[in-house]
Amino acid sequence: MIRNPSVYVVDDDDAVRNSLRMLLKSVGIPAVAYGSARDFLSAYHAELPGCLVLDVRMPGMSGLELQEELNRLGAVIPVIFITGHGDIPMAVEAMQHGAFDFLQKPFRDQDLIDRVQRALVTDGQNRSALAEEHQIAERYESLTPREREVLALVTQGKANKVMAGDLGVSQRTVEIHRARVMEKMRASSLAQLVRMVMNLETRKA
Amino acid sequence: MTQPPRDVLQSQLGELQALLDATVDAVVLIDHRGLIESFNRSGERLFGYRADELIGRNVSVLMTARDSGSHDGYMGRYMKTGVAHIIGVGREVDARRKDGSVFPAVLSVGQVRDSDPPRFVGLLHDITLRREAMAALRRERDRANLYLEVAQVILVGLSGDGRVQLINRKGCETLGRREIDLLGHDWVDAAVPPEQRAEAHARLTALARREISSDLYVEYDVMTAAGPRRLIAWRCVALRDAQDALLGFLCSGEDITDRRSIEQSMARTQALLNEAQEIANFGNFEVYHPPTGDAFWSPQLFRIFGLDPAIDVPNAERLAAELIHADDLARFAAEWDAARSAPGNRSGAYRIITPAGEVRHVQITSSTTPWQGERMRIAGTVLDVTEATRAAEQARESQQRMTHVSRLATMGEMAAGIAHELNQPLAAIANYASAASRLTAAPDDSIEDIKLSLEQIAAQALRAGEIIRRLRSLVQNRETRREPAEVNDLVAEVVSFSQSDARLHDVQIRLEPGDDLPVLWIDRIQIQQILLNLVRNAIEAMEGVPPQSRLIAVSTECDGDTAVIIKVTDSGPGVPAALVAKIFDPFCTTKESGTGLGLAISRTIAEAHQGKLTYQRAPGGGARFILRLPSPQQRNER
Repeated sequence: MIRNPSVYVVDDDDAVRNSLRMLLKSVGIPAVAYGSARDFLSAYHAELPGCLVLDVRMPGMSGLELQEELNRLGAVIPVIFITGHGDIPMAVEAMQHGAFDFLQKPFRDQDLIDRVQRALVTDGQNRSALAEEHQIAERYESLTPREREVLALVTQGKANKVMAGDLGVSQRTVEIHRARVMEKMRASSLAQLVRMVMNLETRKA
Repeated sequence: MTQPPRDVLQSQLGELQALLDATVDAVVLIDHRGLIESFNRSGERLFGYRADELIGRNVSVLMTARDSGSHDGYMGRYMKTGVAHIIGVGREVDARRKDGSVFPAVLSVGQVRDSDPPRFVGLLHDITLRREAMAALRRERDRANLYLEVAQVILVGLSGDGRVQLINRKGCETLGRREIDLLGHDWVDAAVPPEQRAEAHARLTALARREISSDLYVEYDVMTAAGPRRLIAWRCVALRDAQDALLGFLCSGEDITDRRSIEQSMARTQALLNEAQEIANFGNFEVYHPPTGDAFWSPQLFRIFGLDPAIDVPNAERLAAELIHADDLARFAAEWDAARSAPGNRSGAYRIITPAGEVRHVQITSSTTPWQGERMRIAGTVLDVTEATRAAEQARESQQRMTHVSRLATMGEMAAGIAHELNQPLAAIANYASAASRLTAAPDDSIEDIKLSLEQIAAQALRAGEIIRRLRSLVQNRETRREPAEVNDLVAEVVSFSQSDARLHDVQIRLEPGDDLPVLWIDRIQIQQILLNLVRNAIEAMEGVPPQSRLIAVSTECDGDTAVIIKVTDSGPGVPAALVAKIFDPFCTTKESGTGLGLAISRTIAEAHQGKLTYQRAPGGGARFILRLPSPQQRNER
């Protein structure tokens, strides 16, 4: 399911919230505005692409608490915090917890737009990377146990003849397995296959 | 002795007879046996006998049985012993008339010279009148004594040299001594304590020498047998004979020990009352209307008015005309008229200007009651409240200064919040402006958004201006200024003002406005300051509460027709029980950075509005502060 990315604006001040939405709309970025962290949470799910523009000060659940909750849910959506005067310690804390960026009020419109656009790009990249990892894992799952053994030996750089000796099969059999692995993993080269295995191992680690 | 010639004798006999007849006394000639030989005219008249009826009868016929018996005794003894008990002396006897009636008489007897056996001449003098006079005198004396006894008067008669000649029963009782032990003794030595004797002597001497008025008044103690002295007020006169020679003194004394003790105790009570009035600086008065002429003002009352109690007299008209401050005069005159004409209790505060030109503040409280059906009695007190009034004025001034300081402190604490508050509309304006600017690139598609943005820019600019207006009114230092105010608007402003602070602390503020509230006549900024202070306290009080449970409710409601009640309730832990009684005291604080003045000032402001600020534990356990402000109708009735 592919969706167009949106900007989610969460701010308890009606005027600020609506003006941000209007600002983003003026540069063609679709934005959805929420009056509180809870309203946003009840509408959000992890597959929705985009970025979050979040006021740190809010009654009820604050911006920082929302960030904490999103981290707990394993969400990857980039968060841009908007902080008021004298909220630098909060901004630092937000960055330590993985915020994408922060803006201190008053800010220039272009600064916000630039950050939002960068965040959307990053989100897109993150999501592609995630999608690729997902695909590699699925392909790996489709391999037979013998094919997985061959994959492991291939990525160690062993020759077919050596592998045949190690596995106690004919060299021809090894060649057939190796071709099947390359096909199932949709690898066009040995180098690409190695990168896929490294990606898999990083995810397992 | 030679016999005189017969004619001479005859002549003498005639003269004698004339003499006997002329005398008013009864003259009886008796022989040695007591038989009557002759009886004169006066005798006949006195006794009712004719002389011939008595001649030859015993003289005892003229006496009562008792006296005649003793008469025979006298006669017999005289005849035997020659000792005369009666002759030349006379004694009182009861004489008996022919008709048996008895009258008092003095009997004197003389022996006829040169007669043997002896003959006697007896003279009987009727003393009925004298007796009666004596008895009347005695009765008078007894009555006088009785009066003196009833009056409890001591009576002492002294000789010229000061010896006691007479002392009455009261005198003896007072001294606790017997008459016989006093008679003949020097009075002063016997009765007066040693240290007062010289003075007592001197006074008597001066009286004797006419150096002082013949009617001497003097007070001195007398010693009593029982021990305690008695204080006697003496009145003494010098007694003098026809030649003006001093006969003695007659002194009457009144025991004034008890009276003096009561007088002293009354004087002490009065002195204490005066002293109390001086210390407390109040005076009291009692006057009548229509005036009776015995109006009373206490000494301190005069002094409060700057008058001299020794010279000036109570005068309400002068008080009104000269002393009451011109600005208070109409009010005073109206109150005074009311106090004079109708029963009831009244109280009023006035300024007076003393004759020395000093302004004083007095609180006059009076009570009027009908007096004997025809007058009003007005009694009351005048309390000098000058110092208290000045202290209150100074307190009010310093409270206003403190209020300002506190307001500045409030400002300092809220500066960050206000900056944030102001940033909101400014950020919105900037966003809308740049949005509108970008949207103009494709105006045909975006005309509605451009319009919306511009409208919002205008609205947010106004919002910013409003915040600045409130900010300015908050920091202005000014006198209390009352104006009509809608309570719900005022409270909404406070809530909106507190929002940024609340957000910072994850506190939700809920506004619960009541319906149909009257317009209040208050100093808007001061009342808002109370509420801001309460809300800020509530925010700080809830730091230990989980963020989702931090709630402040600000509600308004009517209290009947009489008042509006504003409640600020939080969901914090409430005020610790040990502090509840003290939270309104200055410098009582639970906060490290607090001055402890916020609630004290808030309460002072509430009271300056005839309102009340109280604390209550909220049903959920949090703190609830209740601000009660009287409605204008209620205030008008006051």
